[in-house]
Amino acid sequence: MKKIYIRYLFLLSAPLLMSTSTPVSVRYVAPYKTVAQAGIIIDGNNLFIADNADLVSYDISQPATPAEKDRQHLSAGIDSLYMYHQNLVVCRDNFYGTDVFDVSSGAFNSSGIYWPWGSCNKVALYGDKAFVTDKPGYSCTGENPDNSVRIYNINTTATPELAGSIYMENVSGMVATENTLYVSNEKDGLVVVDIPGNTVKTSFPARACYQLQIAGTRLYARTKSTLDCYDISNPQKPVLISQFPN
Amino acid sequence: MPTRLLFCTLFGGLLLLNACRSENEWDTSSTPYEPVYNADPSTKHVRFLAPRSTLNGGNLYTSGDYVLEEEKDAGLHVISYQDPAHPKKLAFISIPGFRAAAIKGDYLYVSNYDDLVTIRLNSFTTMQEAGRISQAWHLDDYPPFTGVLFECADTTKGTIVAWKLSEDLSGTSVKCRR
Repeated sequence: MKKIYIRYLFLLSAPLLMSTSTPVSVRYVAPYKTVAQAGIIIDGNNLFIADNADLVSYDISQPATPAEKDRQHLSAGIDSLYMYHQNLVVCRDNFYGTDVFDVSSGAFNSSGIYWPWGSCNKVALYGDKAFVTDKPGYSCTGENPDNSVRIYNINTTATPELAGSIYMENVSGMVATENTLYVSNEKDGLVVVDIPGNTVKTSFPARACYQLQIAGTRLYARTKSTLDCYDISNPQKPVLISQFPN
Repeated sequence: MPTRLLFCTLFGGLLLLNACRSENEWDTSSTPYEPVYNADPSTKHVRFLAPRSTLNGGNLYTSGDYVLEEEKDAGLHVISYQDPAHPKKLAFISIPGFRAAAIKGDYLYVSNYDDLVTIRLNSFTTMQEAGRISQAWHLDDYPPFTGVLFECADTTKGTIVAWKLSEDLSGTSVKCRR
């Protein structure tokens, strides 16, 4: 009888233990979720998109008429996509990591590899390096602002290795080449960093930008009022060629 | 046996009771999400227009000496850098609901709301729409987060193309939650 009484008390306490009446605190991960948010990725004759929680590949060997080739459903909405050596790197809204799919055939084959960054991060890849920092506007882990750009060696795809970090707060734009990182924030403007030496080579303090793109020996940088073009024939000594007003 | 039955009944009852929430048990002070609809068929249309000023520049895409610059939600500016010291805007590709693009060879792939559109670039002189996949992208009729309040979706208003936080709505005014 005593045992039954104890069990009964336990059952009475169950609602307290399981109660969901206290609201779950809302974690604002992104202010805006849209279709096509993860972008469009092309690799050879394959085009990849994220349709909500589905990865979709299209065959674009007939460029004007993409034909759906494969579709793979994942357990959460897909936030961003990028390519690394015929691997499609997929960040999902689970915030805790990145899945790597072998897409060399155009179909999705999970490699079982999981990289240690996710939707909360801005990522730039160059060669066998990944440059990772906080993504502006995201607040997944408010207690853990990066205040740096972390550099990973990803040549051993299964085990990315943290190779170093470069101090830089609130990165708004970032792009890299083999030995040079171009990185920008509001305070420091455009900064050119020598990666092996982890040193700032030069900077353009008044040229804060929020989009950076390299094409050949040119670096394009979007500032608030102009689209700037730099000659980076000497990567660590960019020469400003033009400032194209809006 | 009757004791077990009693326990099961009690336990099940408690679970059921716990599943019932009153309106007041949700944190209605939080900002709710609101669906963004696209219902206007005329917006599923890409147009090639004269150059215009950049208002809200975004992502940059390159092809040879040309830069395509995102005008957020509106399309792409086509800029020639054949003379990099004197760049020149050539055209504006109007793409309502634009979010993403990629270039391969002479073809540009863009999002036009939830459609995937192929554009033949023809050296950026006589661009033309070459193909379209309707509704290549979908969004659920609820936001992609849990523990949130949101305005209930109304499919008669069109296709949901985004979920946004709505400062204009109060938590107490919305009826859906997840």
